[in-house]
Amino acid sequence: MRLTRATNKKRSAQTEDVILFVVDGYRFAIAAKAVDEIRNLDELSPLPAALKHPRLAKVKATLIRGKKDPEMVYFVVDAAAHFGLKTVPPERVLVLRNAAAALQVEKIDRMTQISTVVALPSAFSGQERLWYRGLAVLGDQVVPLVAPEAFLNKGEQAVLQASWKGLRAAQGATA
Amino acid sequence: MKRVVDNSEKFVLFPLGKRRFALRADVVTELAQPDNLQSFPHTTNLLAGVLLRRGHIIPVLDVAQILIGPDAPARRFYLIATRKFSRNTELTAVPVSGECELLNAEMTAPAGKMPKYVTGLLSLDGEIVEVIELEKLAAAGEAA
Repeated sequence: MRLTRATNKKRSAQTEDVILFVVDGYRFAIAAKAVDEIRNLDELSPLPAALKHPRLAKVKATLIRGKKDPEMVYFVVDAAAHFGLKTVPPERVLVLRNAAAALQVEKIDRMTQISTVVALPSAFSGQERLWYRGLAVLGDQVVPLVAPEAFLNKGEQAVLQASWKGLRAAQGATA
Repeated sequence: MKRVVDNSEKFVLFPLGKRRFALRADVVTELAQPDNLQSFPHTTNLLAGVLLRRGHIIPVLDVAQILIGPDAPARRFYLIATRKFSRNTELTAVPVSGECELLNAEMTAPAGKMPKYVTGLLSLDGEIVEVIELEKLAAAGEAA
């Protein structure tokens, strides 16, 4: 029987890269892999009246990245409006990956790694169950980890995109 | 010789302002010193935030709003209790305004029109103390 020396391999903890951002003094985390780009407010345009809808009041602007993907329009969600917070002048926009959505926030805090994501306790039974993937513990701070798809779900994106196409077609027809 | 039947149970009395309320002792795990209440946006009624204690995230259920109204005094301690949900049981922190007391007492059924979260009454030296069930109290807060 062959004896092999036991190896003292240390298992590396599963960690996830996140971006911490701030809205009205509250800190949130979003998975770094969910974000395509962090940018300033350049190339943002006010949302056209034809795209405004009472149920999508949190969508404030459109973004077209002229140099990167000019054929793509991103609908910019105001994070403060999404979370029901006081609107604070935003400084940064997070363009979400694999979605026609971007998020405008007060500021970016930093990038960091988290190793533990705790499920939202059952006591929370409101909109937050859609907003958050869970809660992250950073030192002695509890930070909600947002669900990127909650900012604009696929149905909402489809409605906005259809309205956008209709508006562009109408503008093209009158040009 | 008559056999004395002891129908008393254990309760934890907690103060909210000038009034006292009770929880069944078997749902209470500890009385915690003032801790760092952390909050984040949510839309659940009565939840004031969370505590981070020994690596556990414990929701804080501010029952004073329902039990004594908006003029509740500052809460000084947290009573940590278990709360049942449909699929699990979790710890919940209840802010209280003073020291708590553990005692044996006999509970009687609620009299008259009482809220559903009052599951019984304790008669203690002329004081009537309402025994509260956290699950029903939270449901009342949701409905409010």
